[in-house]
Amino acid sequence: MKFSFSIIMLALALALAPHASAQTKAEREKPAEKQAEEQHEAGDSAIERRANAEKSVVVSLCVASGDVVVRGSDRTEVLARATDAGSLRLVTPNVQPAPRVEVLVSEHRGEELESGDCGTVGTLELTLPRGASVDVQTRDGHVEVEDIADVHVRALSGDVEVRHASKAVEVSCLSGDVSLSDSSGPARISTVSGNVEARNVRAAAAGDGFEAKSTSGDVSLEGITHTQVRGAAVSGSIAYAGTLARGGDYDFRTISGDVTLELPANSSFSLHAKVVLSGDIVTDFPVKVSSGSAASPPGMPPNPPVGPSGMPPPPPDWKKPGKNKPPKGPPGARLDGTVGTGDAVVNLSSFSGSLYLRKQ
Amino acid sequence: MKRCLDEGLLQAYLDGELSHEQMSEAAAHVAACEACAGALAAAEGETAFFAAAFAPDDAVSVPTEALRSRIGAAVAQLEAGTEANHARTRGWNFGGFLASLSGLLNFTPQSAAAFAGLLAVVALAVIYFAVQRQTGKPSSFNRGEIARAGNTPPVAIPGAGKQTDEVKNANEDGTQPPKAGNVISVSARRSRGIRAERKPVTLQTKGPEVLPGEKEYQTAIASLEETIKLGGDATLRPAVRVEYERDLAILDSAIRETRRVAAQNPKDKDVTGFLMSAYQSKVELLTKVADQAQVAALGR
Repeated sequence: MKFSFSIIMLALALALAPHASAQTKAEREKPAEKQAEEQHEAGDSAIERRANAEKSVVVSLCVASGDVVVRGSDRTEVLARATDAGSLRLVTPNVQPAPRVEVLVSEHRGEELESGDCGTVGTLELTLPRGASVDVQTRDGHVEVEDIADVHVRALSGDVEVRHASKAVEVSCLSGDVSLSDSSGPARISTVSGNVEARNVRAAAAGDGFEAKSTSGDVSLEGITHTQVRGAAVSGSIAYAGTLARGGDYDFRTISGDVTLELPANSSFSLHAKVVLSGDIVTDFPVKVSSGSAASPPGMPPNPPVGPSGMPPPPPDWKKPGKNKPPKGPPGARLDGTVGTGDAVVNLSSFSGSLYLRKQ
Repeated sequence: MKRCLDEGLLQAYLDGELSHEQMSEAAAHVAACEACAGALAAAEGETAFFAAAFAPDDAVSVPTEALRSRIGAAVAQLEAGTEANHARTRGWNFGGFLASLSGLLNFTPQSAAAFAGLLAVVALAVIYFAVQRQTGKPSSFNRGEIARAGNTPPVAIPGAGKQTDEVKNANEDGTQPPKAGNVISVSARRSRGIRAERKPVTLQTKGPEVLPGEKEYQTAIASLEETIKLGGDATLRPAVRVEYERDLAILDSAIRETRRVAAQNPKDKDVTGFLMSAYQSKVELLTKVADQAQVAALGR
């Protein structure tokens, strides 16, 4: 009896085994989109989509509201994961691997998404090839990009953080702070009511420029090795710390904020500093004043050189380090001269702020 | 708007229920008032919190003040339309007209007395105007006087009344026959007077001399502002709008200040450079907002 029962059970197991195996295989081969939708329907609010892509794929997306996180990887695919979203779609041309991908999201489930749509999402995470170029457009939300070659971000409200970009960076923001670090290539950053902070940004090729602007925020730059560096602010201040490249061209301009440069003591540069209306030009560096130029308005005599007590005064064409404020009279101050052998050109100007040159 | 915004006004501002002018006023006030900016941020936070909490109930529409006013306006419009339709119907419906006449023919003692009184008044008025027309037939000169009187504005213009009197007296003496030119002269003087009164306005509109390159920026700014206006108040969240208004104020102030100095030193390239960079910053700000208005439109 026992024997016959065992035989029956064994036969049943053998009969059902292929079917079970087929079911498991079918489950494994289920399309990623369907799996994601099932996950979504099962209560997991994240949706995933993926597409094979070229190493230098161009990815674009527009998000009306929600955070965007983009990371680079060694895989040649675009993987998108959206939380708190109803629909997610990757639009690719009929070419494999895809040279470009458009990521579309919507808060509504089953919505027919069309190219150019801007939807709402909790967080949209993208994993792209490191050599990719990404163009992010957001209205409300933070943007974080890391390890992507070419980064373009246009944001209305929210902070933008870019790290390890290797080819180029362009960020335009209305209300939010922008941070760029450990990157290379030309960079252009502008925000209106936020601060700009850039650290350790290198030029990838000769002629790469770096530009940072803010209207009411401050601009803080450190370790920028580009040969053309521009910083501008309206009511904010500008701070630059680091070395000056030989042959470099540096231009910092504010309307009512201050400009502060912290440079190595052995820096060599020619200086053109001007304050139009009010403010001081203060330098820790001995500036060899160009003929016909002084820290005073045009037409006014330069400040008389002052030597230490009992010592002969220094040559008349040397400005003593310190505060060089013009005497009362027409507003404004100008200081044109050379520090060291003048290997770089530094232009500083402010309408009504002060200019500071500090030794590190 | 010097006093702090009350809670109701802040909430209406957040809900986009204020008019464009009120919105601008509130934004300008919040930009300048830290307490109100804090209150606005708190209110916005609360709104966001409750919006998230009540997201499932979003389908249930709650009548807001704006909705109520819209409903009220729609009802008023409907009523007005209905009345107009009634009037139109009465005008074309002969039966209704007869019905109204039949109402008139139902004399009561009071209505009969009133009707008779009305007829008497109308008859007296007709007789009076007929008599006046016959006895007071104006001459050509008088027509001129009437014409001048008709042209005289209700507001007294210094010298204008005197001039009219002078012309009138001369005509009565017969030494200086009235000429159309005199009338025109008076009118021209009046025009000059009005121009003189408007002169400061004209000067204000014209403003100081436009600096080279300024006109292009001003044109671009006007165009961008128009685009942003078309986008409506919903283009920016209230908190972002506050920052936008604040930055606009900063830029306008920078433009004013640099322009003042540039006007005094038009040959100073540094000064004009600052003015142009302030304009450029404003153009960039407006461009960003205009761009984002399009994004907002796409996201709606």
